[in-house]
Amino acid sequence: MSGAPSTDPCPDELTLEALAAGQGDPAVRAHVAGCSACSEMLELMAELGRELSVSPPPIEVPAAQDRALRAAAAARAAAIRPRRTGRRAAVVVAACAAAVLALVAVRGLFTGEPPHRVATGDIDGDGRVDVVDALVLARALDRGAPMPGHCDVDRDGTVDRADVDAIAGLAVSIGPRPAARERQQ
Amino acid sequence: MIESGLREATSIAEERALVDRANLGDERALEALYRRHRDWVVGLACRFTGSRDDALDVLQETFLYFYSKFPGFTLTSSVRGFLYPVVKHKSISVLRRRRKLVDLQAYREGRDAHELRWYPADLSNSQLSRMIGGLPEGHREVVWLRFGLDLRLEEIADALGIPLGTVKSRLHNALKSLRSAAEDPAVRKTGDAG
Amino acid sequence: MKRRLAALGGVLVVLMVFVLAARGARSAGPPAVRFRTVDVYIESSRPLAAYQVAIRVESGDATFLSVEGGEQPFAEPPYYDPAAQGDARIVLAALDSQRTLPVGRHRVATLHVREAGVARYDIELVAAAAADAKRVAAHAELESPKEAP
Repeated sequence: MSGAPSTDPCPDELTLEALAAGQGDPAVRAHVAGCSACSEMLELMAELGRELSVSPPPIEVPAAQDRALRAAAAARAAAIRPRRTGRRAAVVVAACAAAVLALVAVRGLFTGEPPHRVATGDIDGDGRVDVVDALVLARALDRGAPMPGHCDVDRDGTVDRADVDAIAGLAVSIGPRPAARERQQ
Repeated sequence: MIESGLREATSIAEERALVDRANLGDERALEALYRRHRDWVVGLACRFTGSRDDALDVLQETFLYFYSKFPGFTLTSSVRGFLYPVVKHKSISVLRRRRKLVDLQAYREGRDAHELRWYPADLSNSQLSRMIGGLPEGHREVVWLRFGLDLRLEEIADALGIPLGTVKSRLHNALKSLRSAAEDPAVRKTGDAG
Repeated sequence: MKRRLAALGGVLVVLMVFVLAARGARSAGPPAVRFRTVDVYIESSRPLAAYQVAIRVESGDATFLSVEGGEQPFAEPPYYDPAAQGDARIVLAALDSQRTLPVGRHRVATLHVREAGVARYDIELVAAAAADAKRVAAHAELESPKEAP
């Protein structure tokens, strides 16, 4: 304590707590400097900190687990950012893919034949959706070839790398695959 | 005081920048968030579960859950404000999975077998610890988060999922109670046991 | 009589063996948890531009945590469903429309797994294709990296 005892009313406990946390205006600090009751309250708070911050000995995270968690961060980030192939988040991809249930009348668009049942994402028409479909689309995009509408797997109005991601997302999904249903073009 | 305020502001700004970058798929930012909070999470989990192995399980589940929030993670007060309830709930889950036996004291006091030992079990049997133990549960947790884990009031509100006003009210009442208890001659008489 | 006693003795010995084994099992405690990696290798007859594998836990208590990429051009983490984290089945896929992995055996990914005790895994090659998007003959296998002494 320094100087003459303060005659101002004591600040409440929350104001003192803010002071202990590094906030508080000069008037409060000046009061506390001259008030034994407030100083004792600050000392009580410091004692609370000492008493409650006792913690168990630090735990060393096993190197293998640490590496696994860092790899999980890297994998998650890779799923989010636009890659060279224009990749989006796997969860966004999966959500879009799961939401797209419509069949596409593929052959009907070009030949006038009756619509056929084709699963969403089955670009090569072999009856299954896998990474080869994504590769077929990626190669077509590389060539700048015009793309039929059924290749717009994520239904954003354009056929681009995001559709490659959408197909790959369908391919690796461990949930139920969206069922194919017929859609009239 | 000003310096610590500046340091804190810088730290908050840094964290916000990391979160923004992680939301865009910046691998180093997401990994930096992991490194920044890893030891805090595992230490907190150990306080909750009382076991190193359980704490490591909680660490893993907590961060896999955290990563799943990106992209689109919205930082409110701080990452720790978000992580605290996650660690707490994951700790409860881990304890339930392991079917920890009720300790005799908890049984006598009628406490849930899965109650977390968030309140440091290794406290001394001091007058202050007895005073803290006499606070209502909600007040005790706020005091612990503020003075034990050094969280800001906004972080505590985030962590407990309660309004900031409620945090202030509980903290205010808790400090008043502790102050009264400290000044009570009857309490002072008991002194320190150790 | 002697034969009966001998037979009874034999039965008692067998019973004691079972009891001791059971006690031994109970006193061994829960299996230790460990984290380790499992490498995914593919060997193909033509340069590889895309692959897809399905891996599952065949036996034991294990879950998949995360996955890293392998050799170029598959150095980035492959596509996988985040729902597979903490699960016993995962499907990986990767493609590069502009570069290919040379012919031969190459590491395409590394899985991080959490095991409680001994676990065994099964891998199925779902698809493999060359740069022209034609499917190719290939073989996939899992390998545990050699641990440092």
